[in-house]
Formats: sequence, structure tokens, C-alpha cells
Amino acid sequence: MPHAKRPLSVPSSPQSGPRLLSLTWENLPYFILSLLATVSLLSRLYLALR
Amino acid sequence: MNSPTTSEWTWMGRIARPVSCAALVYWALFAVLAPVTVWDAHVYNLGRLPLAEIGGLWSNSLWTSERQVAFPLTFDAVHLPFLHLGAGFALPSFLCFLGTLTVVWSTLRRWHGRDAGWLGVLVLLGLPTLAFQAVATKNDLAVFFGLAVWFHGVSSWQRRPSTQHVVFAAVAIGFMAGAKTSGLIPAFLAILASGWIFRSARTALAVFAAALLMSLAALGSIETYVMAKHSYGSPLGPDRFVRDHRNNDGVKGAVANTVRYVAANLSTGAEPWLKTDTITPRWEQRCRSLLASLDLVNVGYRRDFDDAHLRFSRIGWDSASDYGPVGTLALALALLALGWWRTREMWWQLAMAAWLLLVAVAFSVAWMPWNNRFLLAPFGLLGVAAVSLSWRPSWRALRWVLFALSAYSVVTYPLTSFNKRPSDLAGAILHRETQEFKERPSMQPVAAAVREWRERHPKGEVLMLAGSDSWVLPFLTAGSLNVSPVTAEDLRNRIPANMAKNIATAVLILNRPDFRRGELPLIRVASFTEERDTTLYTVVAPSEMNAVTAPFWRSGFYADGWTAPRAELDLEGWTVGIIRMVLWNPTPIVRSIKLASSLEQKEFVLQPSERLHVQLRTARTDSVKIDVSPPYVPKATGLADDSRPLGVYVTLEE
Repeated sequence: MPHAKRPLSVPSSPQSGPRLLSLTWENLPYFILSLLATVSLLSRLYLALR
Repeated sequence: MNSPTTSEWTWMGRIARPVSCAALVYWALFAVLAPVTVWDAHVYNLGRLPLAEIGGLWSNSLWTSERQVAFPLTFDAVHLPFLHLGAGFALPSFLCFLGTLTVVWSTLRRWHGRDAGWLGVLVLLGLPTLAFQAVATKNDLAVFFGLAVWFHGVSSWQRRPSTQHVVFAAVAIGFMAGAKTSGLIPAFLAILASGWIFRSARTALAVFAAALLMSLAALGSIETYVMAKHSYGSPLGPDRFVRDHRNNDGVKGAVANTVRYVAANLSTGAEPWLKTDTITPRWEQRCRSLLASLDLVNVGYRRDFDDAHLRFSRIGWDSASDYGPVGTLALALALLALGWWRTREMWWQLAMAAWLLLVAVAFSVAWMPWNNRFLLAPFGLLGVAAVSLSWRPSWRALRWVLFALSAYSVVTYPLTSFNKRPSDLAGAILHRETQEFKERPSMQPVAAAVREWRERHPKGEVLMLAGSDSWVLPFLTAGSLNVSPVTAEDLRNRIPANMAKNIATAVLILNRPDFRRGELPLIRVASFTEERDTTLYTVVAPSEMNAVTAPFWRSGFYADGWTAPRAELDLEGWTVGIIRMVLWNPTPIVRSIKLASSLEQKEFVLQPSERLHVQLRTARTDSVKIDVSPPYVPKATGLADDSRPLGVYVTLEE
């Protein structure tokens, strides 16, 4: 699988600490889902607590 | 399973990539710049968010539509920060589109090489309804995106078992279930498929089950089910509403709707350029004939639609478009797959998954003219299936056909769309309000009247009483309008309270046929004949109420003197006790007319070209209703087509 892990940018150095999810094209859908789910959850909590 | 081919990179991929990227940049600009344009978003998807900010989710008396209460909230709520920002309203949808394209690109590239990856992206961009939804604010695309991420998760796990993929597959299911009620179907199917895929991996299955529970709890929009149960006694909404919108004819309805969905998506690709589309009506007629021959006439419909008025909308709206020639080709291949079983090949499996989702929609949802956007996932899957099939030996020609049709559609459909042209992009900056109201231009004068009043009374208050089909969003988000939503009861209390505090007050009645001014000290500032039951009043001291005011059309009166089949004329302070008018029937058919006030009812028959002077007794505050039948004038008369109902020509006499 020659294209499985093509980084979007230069990978961070090992000193930068552990990462939950590396930013690759393969992981982009996960990042988008995480972003939308987080915004949704916070917005709904805000509305529910008003 | 298709055998992985080499990483093919020919000039097809070299062209598909920049064309796709250019199209994506175009749509990204739309996502950032365009105002909210979609009818549904103005009424409920986003319209409910400012109402919830004022009145909360629980026991909120300000809701104006049952859709605001009962429809899942998860994806709509993502737009809340953008409403505060005043821009980027379609960015959540565009991100869903981008994520879906990434899944398609990476999957096809893995299966067949780089060419296939970029052709897959181009094919999805060439499905007009899908591309339009990418820059809209509806939630249908979120369901397709959830399905794509789920597939990405489980297929990645099959290649490289990792907890991360299992968790995201579960999160994606919760997201699609919470985005839209119809998302419950693919979510349920995805849960079953996940159970099958993880069946021999106990740890993965346990992680999936735990993550799924948390995902459904956090993202499943449980609050709207609770709200609907609390308000209507049923978690899906009012019984009548649910009954109206589901297919009540079982298997017969499902078959009829499937036939309609297939027929509605047979497009040549030439339709956008035709001044008068003569192709689509033929498909409609053939679909009617086929349904009649199958004894399926009028089954599967929402109750206000039927086969006599079956319309396949291809007018370039977000919700009234098709999937173009690429969709038609993919559909043809899906029909082929029904008779050509290749159970181990991915294209065939995708085609069957698409059929399953399409039939599930046909079975569960009643047919309505704007349902095509429910089929984003089936057509997306069919597009990918077509690309995969074209990498089969001896099917090479198909990829060139797909490439050519997609490239054509990517350019043609935005250029000929209703509100996605380059001029609309410019309009989003230069004429933003016109762009915002393009789907319902009759609302623009209402906003203008409120703004004008607001400019004259910067410290005043505008109270809004809105009906169930009202575009509430523009009045609740645009800073210059700054309108306060109220209930009918609030209105009666707020008017005297504001008068006591010397606060200048206007009252906007928006699409409320039930509203009667009664004894409220209100003087009409503006009424809007093109916008039903809509009036802007200002509050005055009771002593300032005029003795005589002019009659005004509450609804159903066109600017050219015609009425709709049903129209209503309001009288306020009408001391004459009688209203006189001339009715004219310039059509070649006999029309029957009923006139009714609170004091008198009259019926007339108007012969073709006949004029009639009539008078009717009225009360001081009254409403004169006009009811004309038949409500449609035959198309052949040239006065109207059967999509625009027409009443009579009315002139009021002094």
C-alpha cells in the first residue's frame, strides 16, 4: 500500500510528545468528524443548559 | 474482490485532479461566502437555533414549527457558531463533502490506483444534487458523510486492526443517526454490518459496543426525541405529521416510490440548456403509465401529492435537482448489477448497498418532489461502483465515458443552476440579502419594511409572531432587524407593558392566518400581498386609531390584479358597512366564485370573459374571503400553467 500514510505536512519531531491521531490524508475524515461532533456537542450542551 | 492494479497515473488522472481541485475551490468559496439560502434552514434547520438560545430546548413556547422540535439536532447545531459569526454557514456541509471525497479518493486509489482515485472525486463532483448539498445547510449530506467515515473505519480496521478505526466507526454511526431521522436507516444497517465484520474479534466488538453506546448518547440527538415526546406525546413528533411523511402503503408504496426515484433520475444532461425542458415531462408521463400498468397509482405519496401532479424537478435548486447524466449512467449500471451477479466484486457490493439504501428510503418516506436529496448515499455509492467497474478488464471504455460526463457536469450544472452560478457568488458579497431571499423573494420586502421601521426607531422593539412556514432565521440573526419572537399571549402583555414604558413598538405578523388584530392598538404599517398572512403593525395609543382605513389584501393577491384561487381581504375600522368590487373572468372557462364576510355569503358563476359588479355587507373589522373554482386554468389558455393556480381579476370600487 504505497499511499497509505502520506503526511499532510512534515511530521513533528519525537520530542513533541505522543499524538492521538497523526494528520494524514487517511485520517482527514476522522479529523472532520471529530471537529463536527465536538462543535455539535458543545452547541447542544449550551442550548440545553439555557 | 477486485485485484489491486498498479498505481496507474495517466493523463486522465492528471486532468481529473486539477479540474476537481478547481471545482472544490469554487465550492469552498461558496461555503465561506454564501448566506443561508435554503427554505428549510430558514424555517427550522437553523431557524430554531436562535429560538433555542432565547427560550432553551425544554418547555420553549417560542417554537414556530413542529419540525424545530422533532427533527434531529446534531448536525444543525454545528451551525450555531457560524450564525454568531455571520458567515461560513455552509462550511459544515462542505467539510462533510471534503471528508466523503477523501474516503472515496483513498479507497479507489487503494483498489485501482491514482487515476481511479481522482476519477472518483470528479464523479462525485459531477453529481449535481450532491455538489449543491455540499454548499447548503441541510443535513442530508451529514448522513452520507457518516456512512463514508463508518466504511473508512471498518475497512481500515480490516487492513490494520486498530482501536482508533473501531471507535471512529462507532462515532460515525452516532453522527448519522443524530443528523437526520432518515439517517437512522443507514445507522441501523451499519450497526448490523459492524457486528458481522467484528464478529471474530472480541476486543474490537466490545470496544465498538461501548463506543457506539457513548456515541449514540452524545450524538444521537436524544434531546429532540425527549422534546417531541414531551410536546406531542410521541418521540418522532405529532402523529399526524409522522403519518403524513411516511410511506403508508407498505410494499406497494415502496415499489411505486422506487420506480419514481429511478425515473426521476433519468437525465440526458441536455436539460439544463433547454429553454423549455420537453424531455422530463415525457419521463413523467412514462412513469405514470408504468405505475398505472403495475396498479400502483397514487400509492406511497404524502397526502397532498399524487401522480397527476408528479414532477421530476430539475431546476437547479438545492432540493429540486437530479444527479445528472453521471447519476443516470451509474443507475443503469446498478440495474445491470441486478441481473449480473458478481458477489465477490466490490463494485457489485456497492451497487447492492446503494439499492438497499434507496429501497429503504422508498419504503419508509412518502414521496415528495424534493426527496432526491435523500438519495445522496445511494447515488454516491453508485458513482464509486461505476468507477470501480470501469477498472474491470474489458470495461475500460466506461472510465472515459464517466470522465467525460463528469467533466461536463462539473461545469454545466453550477452554470445553469438556480443559485450556484458565479454571478450568485458575486451576489453573495454585493447583493447579499437578495441572494439570501432568492428562494422566497416575497420575504425581502418584509425584511426591508422591518429595517425601515427599525431605522426610524433605533431604540424601539419589534415583536414577531410567526407561523409554521415562516422564514424566522433572517429576523433573528440579522443585527439590523433585531426582532424579538413572542407567543400570542406574550404579545397581548408586551404591548401595554411597552406603552407604559414609552418604548416604540412594532409587531410583525409573519404567516399567521389565525391572527386577528381585535382590540389591540395596532395600525398597519405595511402588508405584503405576495407573502401570505403577513403584516407589519405599529403600536399606537387607542385614541390615535383612525376611524377609517383602507382595505388590504391579507393573502392571495398578485400585483397584476389577479387573485389566487383563495384570497383574503382584510378590513380595519371599515365604517362603510359594505365592500364593492368588480370580478372579471378573462379565462375561457366557467368559474364559480364564493364571497364571504362575517355578515354575508354570496356565490356567483362567471362565464368566460364576464365582468360582475358585486357588493357584500361587512363588519367594522372584517375579513372577506374569495374562493374560486376550478383553481387551475388549463395550460392551453396561455394565462397560466397548471403549476400556478389562478383565481379571478379583482378591482375594488370606492
